[in-house]
Amino acid sequence: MTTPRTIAGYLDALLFELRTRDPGVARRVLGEAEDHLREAVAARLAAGEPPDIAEEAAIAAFGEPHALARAYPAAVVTPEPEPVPLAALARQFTLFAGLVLTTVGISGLLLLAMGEVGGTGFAVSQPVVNVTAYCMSHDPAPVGVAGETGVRPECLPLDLDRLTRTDRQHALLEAVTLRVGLGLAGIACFAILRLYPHWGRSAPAGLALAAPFAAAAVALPLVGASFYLGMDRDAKSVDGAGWYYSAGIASLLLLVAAAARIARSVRAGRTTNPTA
Amino acid sequence: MRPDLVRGNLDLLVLAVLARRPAHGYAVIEALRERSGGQLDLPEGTVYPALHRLEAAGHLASEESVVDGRRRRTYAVTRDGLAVIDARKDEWRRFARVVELVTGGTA
Repeated sequence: MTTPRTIAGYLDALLFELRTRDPGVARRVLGEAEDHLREAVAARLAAGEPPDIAEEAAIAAFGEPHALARAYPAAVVTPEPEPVPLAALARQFTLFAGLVLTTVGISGLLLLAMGEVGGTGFAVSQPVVNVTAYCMSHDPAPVGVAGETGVRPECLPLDLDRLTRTDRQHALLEAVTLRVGLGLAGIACFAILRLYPHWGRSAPAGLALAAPFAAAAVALPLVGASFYLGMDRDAKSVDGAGWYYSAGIASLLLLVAAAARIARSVRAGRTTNPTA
Repeated sequence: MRPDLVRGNLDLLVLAVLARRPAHGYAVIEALRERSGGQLDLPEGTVYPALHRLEAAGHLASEESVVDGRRRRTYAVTRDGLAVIDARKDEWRRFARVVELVTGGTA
């Protein structure tokens, strides 16, 4: 490297050599180098040296720019932790919601199937109904003799078996409708993620994306287990067991899917999006 | 004088110069040259890393002023720096004595 012959050239070269140093250190070294060189040139001029010789001699006495820069350790650049963008959080939430809601939807279809195979009594336990209130107020379109009093037809004469069957059918229909409706919402979440594949992908990746999978996979079986094993003794009997079985089986499916997905990510030694 | 010998003891030399009076970098080098009878001949720029290192260690303090329209940083030895000078001088004397003993000198 050729040593610059002017102070300006020397300072430019020194600035280049200090480019990886802390900016505060670089600024200070440059300032002191310039002060030094100008004072040295002034002293040489005062001693009678010609200006060009004085400048070159002062620079030569100061030393090579790279040698001076080498005396300062390179700045350790610690990258700022990248903040998680709001979009990335929203993507995680959408993914989590999609997983949970779709699982609920699958449990609704399972419940419907259980109702078809095992009967409504297997799928849904007998709802607690206030017979009097039910018979007297639920049907705004009465028929037959009861038409004038607003009493439902299955209540005349009072047929508890028929009433129970109807209640179970209603409860099953409501549950299936609700669960499948939530499942459709879950599918909508996945559709959003498919439609906007780059939305919110910039920050967390890999196993961070698998986290919603894992959370849902752990949470839902626990919910299912608590339904079946926990509070309601009747839930262990055949009566209405399908209600809980459907939730448990759907949760188990999610657990298996999550475990397979996470194991694949670990094996591949890389991080991937579980929805990909 | 070999530059590596000077560099190995530059901190003590700079502290000793500044212990007499506060000075900026150029004046430190001039003082080193004068007091050594011109024998200390090393690239003048090498004194600045030493000044910065000693200040970071708390042995020197500095303040900036404007002289002839240029910013100038003047260094002064701290109390800590004075203690370091005494300690390093002792070390140097012991080392010089050992070198003399080993090499057959008369010190």
